Amino acid sequence: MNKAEPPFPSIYYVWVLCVAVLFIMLLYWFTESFNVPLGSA
Amino acid sequence: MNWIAWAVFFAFLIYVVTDGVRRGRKQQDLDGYFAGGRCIPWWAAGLSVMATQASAITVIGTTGQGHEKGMEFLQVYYPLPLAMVLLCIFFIPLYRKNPIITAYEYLEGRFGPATRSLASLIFLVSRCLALGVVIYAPSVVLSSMTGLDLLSTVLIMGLLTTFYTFLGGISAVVWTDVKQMTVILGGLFICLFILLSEVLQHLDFGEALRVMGSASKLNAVEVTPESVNFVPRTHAEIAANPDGMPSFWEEKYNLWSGLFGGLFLMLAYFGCDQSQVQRILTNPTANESRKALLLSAFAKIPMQALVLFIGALLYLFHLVGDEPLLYRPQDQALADRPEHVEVIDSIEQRYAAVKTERRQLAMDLADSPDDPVLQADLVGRFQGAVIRAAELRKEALTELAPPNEAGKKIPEVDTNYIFPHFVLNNLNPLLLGLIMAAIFAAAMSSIDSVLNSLSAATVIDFYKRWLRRDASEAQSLFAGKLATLFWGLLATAMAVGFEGGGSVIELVNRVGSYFYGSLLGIFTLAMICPAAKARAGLIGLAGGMLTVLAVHLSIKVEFLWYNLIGWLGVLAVGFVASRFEPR
Repeated sequence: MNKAEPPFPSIYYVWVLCVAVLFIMLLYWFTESFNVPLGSA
Repeated sequence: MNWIAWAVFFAFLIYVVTDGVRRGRKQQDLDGYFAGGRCIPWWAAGLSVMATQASAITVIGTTGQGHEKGMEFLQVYYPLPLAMVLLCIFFIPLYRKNPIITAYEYLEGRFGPATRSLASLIFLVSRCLALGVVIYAPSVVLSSMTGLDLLSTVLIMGLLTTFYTFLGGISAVVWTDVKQMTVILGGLFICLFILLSEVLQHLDFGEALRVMGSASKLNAVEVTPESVNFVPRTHAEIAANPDGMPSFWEEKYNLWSGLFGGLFLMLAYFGCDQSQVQRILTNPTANESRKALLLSAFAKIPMQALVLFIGALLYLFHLVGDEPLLYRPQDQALADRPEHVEVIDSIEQRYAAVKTERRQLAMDLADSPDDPVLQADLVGRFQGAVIRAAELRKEALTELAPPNEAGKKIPEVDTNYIFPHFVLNNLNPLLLGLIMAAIFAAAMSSIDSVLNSLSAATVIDFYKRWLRRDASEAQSLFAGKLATLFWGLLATAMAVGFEGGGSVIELVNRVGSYFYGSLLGIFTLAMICPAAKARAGLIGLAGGMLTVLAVHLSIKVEFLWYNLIGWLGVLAVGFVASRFEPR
């Protein structure tokens, strides 16, 4: 490992997690809006 | 397949192999052969991480799964971004502190050589067995598609990949993975485009979503589990009452098994499996390794959603067009035999009627006004037709299945043949060749990574550790190449031997999930329990595996949970054992 390496910016982690959560929420909305579980109608 | 498709397919194979061989000319030492001289850029390593995970079965099996069960499988991938962030924070500093080549080298520093060797051995055994399946499973499908016999398909896939990995080492693996990943993504987008253009001739996009959703194919997030009975059932209870209510732990995919079981699976796979860890050891710096993992964190869920959505679209494509009763060519041939022809004809007639009804109800549903009562009635009737069509397919597969020892016929699912059937019957030769190349690319990109990592673990953790500690770079490099050849030939031979061994394959597929949680557990124990030394480490690792075995033998739990159980088992046993370590 390069000793002079600067610390990795934590904001990247925050970005990744925020994008993932937003994407999963979008999929949740998508499921709730369109999907009907088999046998439930 | 006509000559144009074959030409495209072989052009791709020749390009991949020559590129792999060309990359190998620079390999002079072990660091170059197994770590690419630590000069692979982050984006290439990141794409290689994704390509390694995307096997041919991911492409053909997952689209089939989308067709049959909808998008529920996507839930396993939801914890992946969190797993990648945790690996960036906790694992990468460990791996990049010293110039190690295998993940298990780290364990020796903490727990001594026995734990390191045991962890590496677990990896070697489980990965080699799994590699046989990675070669065999797509070969079966591809041989039925191409008309090539199974042996030829296994040999092309296994030996070509072994050849360029043997010569080129990790650089060949990573750079061919980049090209293979490009072909896989290109192939998927072409299929998406074709399916959408076909479906949109019958329905607009909103109507298509409504129909797919009504068939329960858009189930990407299932918050409510099918069962809220949290008491697991023992095997004896299930044998006494086979029709009893399954417990929460027996549901394969829902949000909760995905989030918790999936998190530990992802952490173990990307953090402790040498076939993945090796990719992040090829970058020049730790921060480049982190970026490689974060690329996967960003891209994997959308990619998997794309694959499953293609499967769901394929269902709609069949629904508005014509869906075959049987997808597997062997089943179609069997159905023509005198002993089956009458029964299958009868099923075909009922299936045709159900398909017509299902199509009409789908069109009515698409055109229906926004009246909730009317819609609920239509959806109910449509779902009835969807279920009946699926039952008729199952009935036909049961009719064709050979009876087992008890005289009972168990249908063999044909999910893996759905996507190839579409490709073979609906694409022009040029695209067919390209998609075939994409399926082969997916297989080869997984095989090459595993081969190189098996070789790395053999040479670094065994040859240089136990057999020849004073081996020169040239001797070690020679051993590495020899090991690649050995594992490649062994896995190919195993794939040949799997023919007809369905139950063996299922068993092998599950082997990894029995060990993964324990492997993650031992790395976690190393990080969080300074009191644990050599003895506690070894006892903890054995304890975790025994815990999984005990759970497996006593109660019914879906495989994703084994990762969490193994991890907890190692930590619990390891912590207790650390109290008795000699001071």
